[in-house]
Amino acid sequence: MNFCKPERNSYFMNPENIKNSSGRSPVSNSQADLKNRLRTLPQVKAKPDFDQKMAALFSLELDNEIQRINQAWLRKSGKIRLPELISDLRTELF
Amino acid sequence: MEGSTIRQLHNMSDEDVMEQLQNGVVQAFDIIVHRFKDRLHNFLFRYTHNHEDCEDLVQETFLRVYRSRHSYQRIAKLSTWIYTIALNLAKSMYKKKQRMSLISIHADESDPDDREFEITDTTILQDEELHQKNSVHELEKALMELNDDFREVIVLRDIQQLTYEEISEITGTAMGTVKSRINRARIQLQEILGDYVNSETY
Repeated sequence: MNFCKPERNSYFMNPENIKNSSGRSPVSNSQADLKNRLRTLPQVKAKPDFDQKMAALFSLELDNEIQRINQAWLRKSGKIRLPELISDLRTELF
Repeated sequence: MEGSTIRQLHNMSDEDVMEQLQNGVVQAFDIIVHRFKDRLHNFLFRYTHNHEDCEDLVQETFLRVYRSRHSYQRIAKLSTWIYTIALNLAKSMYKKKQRMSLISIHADESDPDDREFEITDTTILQDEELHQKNSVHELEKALMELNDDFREVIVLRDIQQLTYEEISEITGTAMGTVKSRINRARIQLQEILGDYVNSETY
Protein backbone atom coordinates (compact mmCIF):
# COMPACT_ATOMS: atom_id res chain seq x y z
CA MET A 1 0.00 0.00 0.00
CA ASN A 2 1.20 3.39 -0.87
CA PHE A 3 0.57 5.73 1.97
CA CYS A 4 0.95 9.31 1.06
CA LYS A 5 2.42 11.55 3.65
CA PRO A 6 -0.14 14.22 4.45
CA GLU A 7 1.11 17.46 3.03
CA ARG A 8 0.62 20.85 4.57
CA ASN A 9 -2.12 22.24 2.43
CA SER A 10 -1.28 25.82 1.69
CA TYR A 11 -4.93 26.53 0.86
CA PHE A 12 -5.99 25.91 4.45
CA MET A 13 -2.94 27.68 5.83
CA ASN A 14 -4.48 30.91 4.62
CA PRO A 15 -6.98 32.18 7.22
CA GLU A 16 -8.99 33.78 4.38
CA ASN A 17 -9.86 30.27 3.20
CA ILE A 18 -11.10 28.95 6.52
CA LYS A 19 -14.87 29.06 6.47
CA ASN A 20 -17.19 29.29 9.44
CA SER A 21 -20.59 27.61 9.79
CA SER A 22 -22.22 30.08 7.40
CA GLY A 23 -19.62 29.19 4.80
CA ARG A 24 -17.87 32.55 4.96
CA SER A 25 -14.37 33.42 6.00
CA PRO A 26 -14.24 34.97 9.49
CA VAL A 27 -11.49 37.32 8.29
CA SER A 28 -13.57 38.70 5.46
CA ASN A 29 -16.61 38.74 7.77
CA SER A 30 -14.69 40.94 10.08
CA GLN A 31 -13.57 43.22 7.23
CA ALA A 32 -17.11 43.38 5.93
CA ASP A 33 -18.33 44.24 9.41
CA LEU A 34 -15.77 47.03 9.64
CA LYS A 35 -16.81 48.35 6.22
CA ASN A 36 -20.45 48.32 7.30
CA ARG A 37 -19.61 50.12 10.51
CA LEU A 38 -17.72 52.78 8.57
CA ARG A 39 -20.61 53.15 6.13
CA THR A 40 -23.10 53.62 8.92
CA LEU A 41 -21.12 56.31 10.69
CA PRO A 42 -23.38 59.32 11.15
CA GLN A 43 -23.28 61.60 8.12
CA VAL A 44 -21.89 65.00 8.94
CA LYS A 45 -23.89 67.57 7.03
CA ALA A 46 -23.65 71.30 6.44
CA LYS A 47 -25.40 73.51 8.98
CA PRO A 48 -28.64 75.19 7.85
CA ASP A 49 -26.97 78.62 7.66
CA PHE A 50 -24.12 77.34 5.50
CA ASP A 51 -25.71 78.47 2.21
CA GLN A 52 -26.17 81.99 3.54
CA LYS A 53 -22.56 82.23 4.74
CA MET A 54 -21.29 80.80 1.48
CA ALA A 55 -23.39 83.25 -0.55
CA ALA A 56 -21.94 86.17 1.43
CA LEU A 57 -18.40 84.91 0.88
CA PHE A 58 -19.05 84.36 -2.80
CA SER A 59 -20.45 87.85 -3.24
CA LEU A 60 -17.30 89.24 -1.61
CA GLU A 61 -15.23 87.08 -3.94
CA LEU A 62 -17.11 88.45 -6.98
CA ASP A 63 -16.57 92.04 -5.80
CA ASN A 64 -12.86 91.40 -5.34
CA GLU A 65 -12.69 89.78 -8.74
CA ILE A 66 -14.36 92.77 -10.43
CA GLN A 67 -11.96 95.13 -8.64
CA ARG A 68 -8.98 93.05 -9.76
CA ILE A 69 -10.23 93.01 -13.35
CA ASN A 70 -10.86 96.78 -13.32
CA GLN A 71 -7.44 97.54 -11.89
CA ALA A 72 -5.73 95.28 -14.41
CA TRP A 73 -7.67 96.98 -17.22
CA LEU A 74 -6.74 100.44 -15.95
CA ARG A 75 -3.09 99.46 -15.70
CA LYS A 76 -3.17 98.31 -19.32
CA SER A 77 -4.92 101.42 -20.58
CA GLY A 78 -2.78 104.12 -18.99
CA LYS A 79 -4.42 107.02 -20.77
CA ILE A 80 -7.85 106.35 -19.38
CA ARG A 81 -8.71 107.98 -16.08
CA LEU A 82 -11.74 107.28 -13.96
CA PRO A 83 -13.88 110.40 -13.51
CA GLU A 84 -12.97 112.42 -10.44
CA LEU A 85 -15.62 113.45 -7.99
CA ILE A 86 -17.37 116.57 -9.30
CA SER A 87 -16.89 119.11 -6.53
CA ASP A 88 -18.70 122.14 -7.90
CA LEU A 89 -21.37 121.62 -10.51
CA ARG A 90 -21.43 125.35 -11.46
CA THR A 91 -17.77 125.37 -12.43
CA GLU A 92 -17.92 121.97 -14.10
CA LEU A 93 -21.09 122.46 -16.12
CA PHE A 94 -21.25 126.16 -16.95
CA MET B 1 -35.20 84.04 -17.42
CA GLU B 2 -33.08 83.50 -14.34
CA GLY B 3 -35.48 80.89 -13.02
CA SER B 4 -35.29 78.87 -16.21
CA THR B 5 -31.47 79.02 -16.15
CA ILE B 6 -31.44 77.62 -12.62
CA ARG B 7 -33.92 74.89 -13.61
CA GLN B 8 -31.73 73.96 -16.57
CA LEU B 9 -28.65 73.88 -14.36
CA HIS B 10 -30.37 71.55 -11.90
CA ASN B 11 -30.88 69.01 -14.67
CA MET B 12 -27.27 69.11 -15.86
CA SER B 13 -24.43 66.79 -14.92
CA ASP B 14 -21.76 68.11 -12.54
CA GLU B 15 -19.35 68.56 -15.43
CA ASP B 16 -21.87 70.51 -17.51
CA VAL B 17 -22.64 72.77 -14.56
CA MET B 18 -18.92 73.43 -14.21
CA GLU B 19 -18.72 74.30 -17.89
CA GLN B 20 -21.47 76.86 -17.35
CA LEU B 21 -19.48 78.36 -14.49
CA GLN B 22 -16.43 78.52 -16.74
CA ASN B 23 -18.61 80.39 -19.26
CA GLY B 24 -19.52 83.00 -16.67
CA VAL B 25 -22.88 81.70 -15.42
CA VAL B 26 -22.49 82.53 -11.72
CA GLN B 27 -25.67 80.67 -10.73
CA ALA B 28 -23.79 77.48 -11.54
CA PHE B 29 -21.71 78.08 -8.43
CA ASP B 30 -24.80 77.74 -6.20
CA ILE B 31 -25.63 74.43 -7.83
CA ILE B 32 -22.12 73.13 -7.19
CA VAL B 33 -22.31 74.25 -3.56
CA HIS B 34 -25.71 72.60 -3.19
CA ARG B 35 -24.47 69.29 -4.65
CA PHE B 36 -21.20 69.02 -2.76
CA LYS B 37 -21.62 70.77 0.57
CA ASP B 38 -22.75 67.69 2.54
CA ARG B 39 -20.28 65.33 0.89
CA LEU B 40 -17.42 67.71 1.66
CA HIS B 41 -18.54 68.24 5.25
CA ASN B 42 -18.71 64.48 5.76
CA PHE B 43 -15.27 64.03 4.23
CA LEU B 44 -13.46 66.93 5.89
CA PHE B 45 -14.94 66.31 9.33
CA ARG B 46 -12.88 63.11 9.45
CA TYR B 47 -9.78 65.32 9.22
CA THR B 48 -10.70 68.12 11.55
CA HIS B 49 -13.04 66.48 14.07
CA ASN B 50 -14.28 69.97 14.66
CA HIS B 51 -17.29 71.52 12.97
CA GLU B 52 -15.85 75.03 12.85
CA ASP B 53 -12.61 74.04 11.11
CA CYS B 54 -14.53 71.71 8.86
CA GLU B 55 -16.89 74.47 7.75
CA ASP B 56 -13.97 76.84 7.11
CA LEU B 57 -12.32 74.19 4.95
CA VAL B 58 -15.50 73.53 2.98
CA GLN B 59 -15.94 77.26 2.33
CA GLU B 60 -12.32 77.62 1.27
CA THR B 61 -12.67 74.59 -1.01
CA PHE B 62 -15.62 76.18 -2.82
CA LEU B 63 -13.81 79.50 -3.18
CA ARG B 64 -10.80 77.68 -4.66
CA VAL B 65 -13.12 75.85 -7.03
CA TYR B 66 -14.39 79.21 -8.26
CA ARG B 67 -10.96 80.88 -8.44
CA SER B 68 -9.38 78.03 -10.35
CA ARG B 69 -12.46 77.16 -12.43
CA HIS B 70 -10.58 77.66 -15.69
CA SER B 71 -7.97 75.06 -14.75
CA TYR B 72 -10.61 72.32 -14.57
CA GLN B 73 -10.66 70.04 -17.60
CA ARG B 74 -13.38 67.55 -18.39
CA ILE B 75 -10.93 64.64 -18.48
CA ALA B 76 -11.57 64.25 -14.75
CA LYS B 77 -14.87 63.96 -12.94
CA LEU B 78 -15.78 67.18 -11.19
CA SER B 79 -16.19 65.37 -7.87
CA THR B 80 -12.63 64.00 -8.14
CA TRP B 81 -11.27 67.47 -8.79
CA ILE B 82 -13.18 68.99 -5.87
CA TYR B 83 -12.08 66.21 -3.49
CA THR B 84 -8.47 66.80 -4.56
CA ILE B 85 -8.74 70.48 -3.66
CA ALA B 86 -10.41 69.63 -0.34
CA LEU B 87 -7.79 67.02 0.53
CA ASN B 88 -4.91 69.40 -0.23
CA LEU B 89 -6.47 72.09 1.93
CA ALA B 90 -7.07 69.63 4.77
CA LYS B 91 -3.47 68.45 4.59
CA SER B 92 -2.03 71.95 4.67
CA MET B 93 -4.28 72.90 7.59
CA TYR B 94 -3.20 69.75 9.43
CA LYS B 95 0.47 70.62 8.84
CA LYS B 96 -0.08 74.15 10.13
CA LYS B 97 -1.73 72.79 13.27
CA GLN B 98 1.12 70.34 13.81
CA ARG B 99 3.64 73.17 13.52
CA MET B 100 1.66 75.17 16.06
CA SER B 101 1.59 72.27 18.52
CA LEU B 102 5.37 71.84 18.10
CA ILE B 103 5.91 75.44 19.14
CA SER B 104 3.95 74.86 22.32
CA ILE B 105 6.04 71.78 23.18
CA HIS B 106 9.20 73.89 23.16
CA ALA B 107 8.05 76.28 25.84
CA ASP B 108 10.88 77.46 28.11
CA GLU B 109 10.37 75.66 31.45
CA SER B 110 12.82 77.90 33.31
CA ASP B 111 10.74 80.94 32.51
CA PRO B 112 7.73 81.14 34.86
CA ASP B 113 5.90 83.30 32.34
CA ASP B 114 6.36 80.73 29.64
CA ARG B 115 4.48 77.89 31.27
CA GLU B 116 2.10 75.94 29.18
CA PHE B 117 -1.49 75.84 30.23
CA GLU B 118 -4.27 73.60 29.11
CA ILE B 119 -7.13 75.01 27.16
CA THR B 120 -10.26 72.92 27.12
CA ASP B 121 -11.53 72.80 23.61
CA THR B 122 -15.26 73.03 24.12
CA THR B 123 -15.99 72.69 20.42
CA ILE B 124 -14.50 69.21 20.39
CA LEU B 125 -16.63 68.25 23.36
CA GLN B 126 -19.71 69.51 21.59
CA ASP B 127 -18.79 67.56 18.49
CA GLU B 128 -18.32 64.40 20.49
CA GLU B 129 -21.63 64.85 22.21
CA LEU B 130 -23.26 64.53 18.83
CA HIS B 131 -22.08 60.96 18.60
CA GLN B 132 -23.97 59.28 21.38
CA LYS B 133 -23.20 55.69 20.64
CA ASN B 134 -19.99 54.40 22.10
CA SER B 135 -19.12 52.28 19.12
CA VAL B 136 -19.39 55.27 16.81
CA HIS B 137 -17.21 57.29 19.14
CA GLU B 138 -14.62 54.51 19.26
CA LEU B 139 -14.61 54.19 15.50
CA GLU B 140 -14.17 57.93 15.01
CA LYS B 141 -11.32 57.90 17.51
CA ALA B 142 -9.69 54.92 15.84
CA LEU B 143 -9.89 56.70 12.48
CA MET B 144 -8.02 59.65 13.96
CA GLU B 145 -5.29 57.30 15.16
CA LEU B 146 -4.55 56.03 11.67
CA ASN B 147 -1.67 57.68 9.88
CA ASP B 148 -2.59 60.29 7.26
CA ASP B 149 -2.07 58.07 4.21
CA PHE B 150 -4.23 55.30 5.63
CA ARG B 151 -6.94 57.60 6.93
CA GLU B 152 -7.41 59.44 3.65
CA VAL B 153 -7.87 56.25 1.61
CA ILE B 154 -10.19 54.57 4.05
CA VAL B 155 -12.35 57.68 4.41
CA LEU B 156 -12.55 58.06 0.64
CA ARG B 157 -13.31 54.38 0.07
CA ASP B 158 -15.44 53.24 3.00
CA ILE B 159 -17.14 56.47 4.04
CA GLN B 160 -17.33 58.46 0.81
CA GLN B 161 -17.61 55.24 -1.22
CA LEU B 162 -15.46 56.40 -4.11
CA THR B 163 -13.93 53.99 -6.61
CA TYR B 164 -10.29 52.91 -6.46
CA GLU B 165 -9.70 54.86 -9.65
CA GLU B 166 -11.09 58.07 -8.19
CA ILE B 167 -9.07 57.63 -4.99
CA SER B 168 -5.96 57.04 -7.07
CA GLU B 169 -6.56 60.33 -8.91
CA ILE B 170 -7.40 62.32 -5.77
CA THR B 171 -4.40 61.15 -3.77
CA GLY B 172 -2.04 61.07 -6.74
CA THR B 173 -0.96 57.50 -5.99
CA ALA B 174 -0.92 54.36 -8.10
CA MET B 175 -3.99 52.13 -8.02
CA GLY B 176 -2.00 49.22 -6.55
CA THR B 177 -0.75 51.43 -3.73
CA VAL B 178 -4.30 52.62 -3.04
CA LYS B 179 -5.58 49.04 -2.80
CA SER B 180 -2.80 47.92 -0.51
CA ARG B 181 -3.16 51.02 1.67
CA ILE B 182 -6.90 50.40 2.04
CA ASN B 183 -6.25 46.81 3.03
CA ARG B 184 -3.55 47.74 5.51
CA ALA B 185 -5.65 50.59 6.86
CA ARG B 186 -8.55 48.22 7.56
CA ILE B 187 -6.26 45.79 9.33
CA GLN B 188 -4.75 48.59 11.41
CA LEU B 189 -8.19 49.94 12.20
CA GLN B 190 -9.31 46.51 13.39
CA GLU B 191 -6.22 46.29 15.56
CA ILE B 192 -6.91 49.68 17.08
CA LEU B 193 -10.49 48.73 17.75
CA GLY B 194 -9.39 45.45 19.25
CA ASP B 195 -11.76 43.82 16.84
CA TYR B 196 -9.78 40.68 16.21
CA VAL B 197 -11.42 37.62 14.83
CA ASN B 198 -12.73 35.66 17.81
CA SER B 199 -10.65 32.62 18.50
CA GLU B 200 -13.81 30.53 18.90
CA THR B 201 -14.61 30.95 15.24
CA TYR B 202 -11.55 28.82 14.39
